[in-house]
Amino acid sequence: MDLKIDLNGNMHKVALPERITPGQSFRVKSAGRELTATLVPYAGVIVLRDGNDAALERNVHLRRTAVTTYVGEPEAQLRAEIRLGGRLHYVHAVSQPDMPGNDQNNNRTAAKDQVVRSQITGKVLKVLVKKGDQTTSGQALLVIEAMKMENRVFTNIAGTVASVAVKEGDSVNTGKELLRIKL
Amino acid sequence: MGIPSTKIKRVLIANRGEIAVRIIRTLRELGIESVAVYSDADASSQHRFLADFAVRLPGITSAETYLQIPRLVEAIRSSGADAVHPGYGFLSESSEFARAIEKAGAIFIGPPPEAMDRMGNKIHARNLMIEHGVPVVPGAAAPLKDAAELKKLAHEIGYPLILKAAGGGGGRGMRVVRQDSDLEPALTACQREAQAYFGNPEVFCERFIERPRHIEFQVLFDAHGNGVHLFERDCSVQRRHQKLFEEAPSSYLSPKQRDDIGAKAVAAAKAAGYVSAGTIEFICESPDRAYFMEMNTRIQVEHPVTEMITGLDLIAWQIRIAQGERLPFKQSDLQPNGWAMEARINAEDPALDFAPSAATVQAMTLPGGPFVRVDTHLYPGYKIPDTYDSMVAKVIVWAKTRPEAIVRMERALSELRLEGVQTTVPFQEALLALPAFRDGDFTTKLIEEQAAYWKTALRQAGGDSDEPTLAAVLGVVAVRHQPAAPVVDGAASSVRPSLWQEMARREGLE
Repeated sequence: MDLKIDLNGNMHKVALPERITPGQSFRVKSAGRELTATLVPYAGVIVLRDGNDAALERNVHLRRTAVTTYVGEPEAQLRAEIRLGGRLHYVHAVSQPDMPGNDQNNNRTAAKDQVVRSQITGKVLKVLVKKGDQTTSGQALLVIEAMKMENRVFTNIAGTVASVAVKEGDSVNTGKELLRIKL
Repeated sequence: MGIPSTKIKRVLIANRGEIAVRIIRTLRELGIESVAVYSDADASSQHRFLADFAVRLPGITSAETYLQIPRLVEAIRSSGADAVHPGYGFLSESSEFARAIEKAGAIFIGPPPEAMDRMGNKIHARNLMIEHGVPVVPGAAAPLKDAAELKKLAHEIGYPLILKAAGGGGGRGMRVVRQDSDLEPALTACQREAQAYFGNPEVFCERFIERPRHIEFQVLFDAHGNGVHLFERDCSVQRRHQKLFEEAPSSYLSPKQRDDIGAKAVAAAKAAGYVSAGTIEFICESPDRAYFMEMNTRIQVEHPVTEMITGLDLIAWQIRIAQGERLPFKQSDLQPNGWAMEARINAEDPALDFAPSAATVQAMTLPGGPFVRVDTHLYPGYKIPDTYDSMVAKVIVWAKTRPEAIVRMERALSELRLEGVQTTVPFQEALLALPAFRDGDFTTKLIEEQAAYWKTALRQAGGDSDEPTLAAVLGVVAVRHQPAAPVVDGAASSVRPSLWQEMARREGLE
């Protein structure tokens, strides 16, 4: 499988097998370099060896990983805390399949409504807008309560509220659609 | 009246989470049975299972469960507990709860209710301190009557001023005033808030110290009039009045200043007729100008750092004191040993403005090794409820010196793996790297004043190091999260579970 990974605004092409079985080594190609990798079950470790020199094993520690994907959208949002070469990296990246014609997908979001999703799990305390309302950048849309804290959900685009998917008192999970804004 | 001398056999812990777990551990070491109470939201909480006995408190919210005095009294009766430890938060500073426990024939492991009342009202506490020669922030000694009185006072002590609710706490019902024209509206608003939040419209005022250091002294008093202080904790690293990192001792104080302020803390506790473990909070303009702010009449979240530099189990001492035992040491027997630090790990996402992360712990590895302690109620598979506090763990380290403690804390935090839950760990790691923190040169404004630093510190990726390798690793993470079949659900969204949970599922281990 070929992936494009957007890291710090730099695009990296990575070639991987379709499936990865823990405990079994596999090949990864990144920036022309070939690595042998093994995912160690339960330990949160990936063992990396340089393709040509298998003598030195590099242990990559995955302290925390989170991947968010949405149906119909090829990209995955990656968040990870990784220790590599003695340093901790807090990574926010986007991956998408690297396939011919996939570049057209990049324009796809411009035509679509903006979907506002909950970043947290909690209870909808207040819905501050209704269908048809105009929104401005920086405007608060909803308040979600979790762990005794009130969290405001803001929009960064100007548009019109196309639909509201939740009401006050609803419980929401991370990733749940809250409302849509038409550009 | 004689001091009762009893042997406590079974303790009910009127609390939850990490502090309930921590108390159960000491009870076990002392050979005392433990009784947990748990709400329905805490049905799978570790404290319920770790205790010897447990009593369900039907309901979800704190108000329905952990704050229900009649239900807790009923739990004391039904469990046969002869004593109650209130922990921190919830009813720990409620003299009404302490009295109800005593009326039910059990021992309240904490101060006498009268001492709680003396320190509970901020105006009364302030006046009591003045009577006993403990310095307080320059300000008004009585509730303010009107704006005219406040104006006269403002000109005596100078701007800026802070108005505070007499019955308040936790940053609520406070107003900073910087000029004459703001006095009247601020006073009216503050009185209104004081009435609304605390049911008491009394307001007092003090000089507002812009860049203070928050230093608190642990005190320990037995019921026979013997008391000591166990040195200070520095809790100046705060975000919106929430402590995130504590240490003991403080790099701010010289040994002489430590002795001076410590003696004042002992005098303050003595003035209140205090018994058990308590904390005197000081607000410091400079090391020589430490003013009494308030007394916390309970065990505190950050008590482990004091335990590490004194070698004393404070919960055990609260229990011994409640049994009528005498302190076997005097102030002159005590010396602080080395340096301790504590990071409060909250289930909050620092990259998302500290949004709460009430999620399931998918996988967990806790730090270990020399001089590292972790107090937590988490376990793999545990779903953190979104009903209560976001604090889920405390990582505490000890070392001989402050610089060594910083290195040890960095090492310990880097070992903490919590899959599935976002935590404040990246924030605490960035704090440890901050020069002002490392130099010990900071105030409670540290986090606000370094706003630009946090933005970049929490998003460092690749850069000078090996970006292609990092990309390869991310590719592995992305492939492992590929859905086996197309996800079709009504919400049109899918947050994939952690890599490690997926693995467990595929291997039939879940």
